[in-house]
Order: sequence, then C-alpha cells, then structure tokens
Amino acid sequence: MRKLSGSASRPDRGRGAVPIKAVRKKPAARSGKPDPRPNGGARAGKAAPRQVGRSERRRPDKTLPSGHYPPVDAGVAASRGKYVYCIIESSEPLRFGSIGIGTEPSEVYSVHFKTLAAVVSDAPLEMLDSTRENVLAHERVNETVMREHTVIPMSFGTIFKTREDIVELLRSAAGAFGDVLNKMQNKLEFGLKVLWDRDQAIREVETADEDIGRLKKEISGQKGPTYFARMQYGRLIDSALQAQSERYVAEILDQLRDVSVASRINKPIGDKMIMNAAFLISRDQEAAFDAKVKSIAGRFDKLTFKYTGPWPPYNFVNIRLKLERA
Amino acid sequence: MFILDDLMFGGLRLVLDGIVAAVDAEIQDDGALREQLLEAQMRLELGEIDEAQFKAIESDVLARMREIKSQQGPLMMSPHDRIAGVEIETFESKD
Repeated sequence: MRKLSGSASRPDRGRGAVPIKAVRKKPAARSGKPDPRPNGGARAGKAAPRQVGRSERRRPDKTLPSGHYPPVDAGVAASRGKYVYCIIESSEPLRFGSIGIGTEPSEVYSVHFKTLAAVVSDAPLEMLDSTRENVLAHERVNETVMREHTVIPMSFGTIFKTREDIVELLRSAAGAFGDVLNKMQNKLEFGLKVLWDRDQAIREVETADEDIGRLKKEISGQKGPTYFARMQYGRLIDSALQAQSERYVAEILDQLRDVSVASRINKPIGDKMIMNAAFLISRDQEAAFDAKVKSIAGRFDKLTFKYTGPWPPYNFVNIRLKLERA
Repeated sequence: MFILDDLMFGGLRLVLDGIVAAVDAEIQDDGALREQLLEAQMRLELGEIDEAQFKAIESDVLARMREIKSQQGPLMMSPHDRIAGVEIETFESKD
C-alpha cells in the first residue's frame, strides 16, 4: 500500500485543518480504503477471474445494498453501454470486482483483442455528469488496475455501445496502443500543486521592495492619495508577486528535474495556486522523487504543497480517436 | 480531487471527425465552467467551503455544462461509427 503511505487516513473534511503539506494522497482512496488487511489492496488487481469475492471488496458506501448484486448478465446488459476506463496489455480475462461507475457499483471486467484489453463496466447509454462521485469511481478503477498493469487511461465519460465496438477500437489502433504501453511501462504520474497565502506574499513584497513600501506609505499617509499613486502601487504589487511566484516555481521545478522523466505545467486553479504541475516518474526513481518533494516542502514552509499520486499518465498520453459517423 | 481536468482531457479521447473543430470550440466554451468546478473542489479540499456549499456549486455548474453538451449529444461510439484516424502524442522525455 505504498501509494497511501501516511495519507490513507487523511481527513478529507479539511475544515479548519492545518494545510497538509507534501502529503501524498489519492482522493479516490477515501471510499474504498484504508484496507486494514496487510495484503488486502493487492487482491483486487489480481488476474483471477471470479475469484475477487464481492464481499471482500465491500466498501463502506451507503449506496451499497447488503451483499447481493445482480449477476453480470449479457441479456440484462443488452440495453446498456460499456463505460471504458483504460487500456492495458493482457490476454487473460480479468475481473476487478464491483467498483465501477454508477449508483450501484458495477462489475468491472475486461474486453480483449489479442494481447490488448479494455477495462470496462456496463453503464447506461447516456451522458455522464462529471460529478465528484463519478470522477472518483473512474479514478478508483484505474487506481486498482494500475497496481498490476501499465495503463493507458481513458478520459472521463467515454461509453461504447457494444463489446464489438470496443474490440474494433482495440483492433484499429493496436499498433499505437502497443507503442504507448511500451513507453509508459514502469512509469507513474504524480501531481504537485503549490499554493501560497497571497496576503502574506503581498506583505512580504511590501517590506522587501523599497519602491512599493515607499508608495504604500505615500498612499496611506496622504489624505487624498493620487489616482496615479494607487495605480502604480497596484501594478508594482502585481508584477512583484508574479516575479516572486515565478522564482518559486522555477526553483521547485529545477529541484525535481533530476528525479523525473518529464513534467508538464498546467494552468493554476484559482488565485492562491502558483504551480499546477504533473510529473512522469519512473518506478525506480519514485522514492527519490518522494524524498525530494518532501525536502522541498520542508524548505518552503510558507507554501502549501498538494502532492498526489500515483496516477495513470493522464498528462503524458494524448490520444485522439477520430470517429466517422455514417 | 484536483485531477478532474486531467481526467476529462488527458489520456484517450474520442472525437467525431468533421466536428473536431466544434468539439474544440465547445471545450473553450465550457472552460470557464470547468474552472469554477475545479476551484470549488479545491476550496472544499482546503476547507474553505463545506460539503453542502460544494454540492450547490457543483449541481449548478454541472447543469450549465449539460446545457452546452446536450447540443452535441453524448459522446459514444455506435455501430455506424468508424475509427477514421488516431492521433497520438506522448511526452516521456524532458522538454
């Protein structure tokens, strides 16, 4: 359960909590885990058809009826589509338990073409809202699958009408999928988001920058501060904050370069976030990356670090399948 | 949370050929909505809003997203569809 180290019990309520710094966590872990059994987590990912007992995977989820589930039945499923979570390499049929998307957790299983497999569950043929529950269910499945397999993640919300369509998908892009699976073998994605306290940053800038400090005094000292002085103050603050956050980001990225395979920078969310990055890490550097993140977080103690993973390589694999509709 | 954006736009994605441009435009259109949703999720995680407040924002934003998306219909593959092309990009080396 390496990936949950120190974080499985992180309170998700968060209210009033001290910001958690550099704690790696999987949001998806909340519902299904922590699993108290030393071995419990690995079981679900095993290639053991029918062996994944439903009761073993029972989760403290209030939507879960007590123990009995409708069997996976082709007849019942006929009017339904198939939700696809990811593509992996496997010629063995796999079952991952009742962890799929839907109000009643659906059975997750595999659909094959030669050595490729799509991991799917039956789902209604309708547009799926990106609610937190749905997104977490998508992620929970991929997290389970990636314990034992290299995964090409499917973006959220893709539904196929029939099993045959999925086989056709695998067949038509088999070569490309094989290449990508090779490239992503033994690689994991981690997310690192860095937030700051903007007000505190402003105060620091005001003390550190003479011009800004002088302007501030000027503005607050005068009875009627000039419009110009206010404007100039605002502009100076903005550019000083910008420069400061860029310095932070550059330094953090620089520290992580040697322990990562690649990185991608996404747009920060909201005005507190100064960095929103994803890193591709090779498994053998995972410990080193982990240690580095923690040491950086310790050093920049005024910043808050949100460290998550491992994820499938969402940010490092971009596949667009163009469909032609007859 | 924090990974919704990646889930929705990273990885493997189906697009209808011929309306690729339209889909891209739609992504632009609901970009602001997605940002609102992401920000709400972040604030929930940071404890700035509670579960109920989050739910209210979420259902509002999702309803508006649904409106945009319904013009396009659910993106799924049907027996009449044919895969016309595959575009693959991977980023597994330093920039």
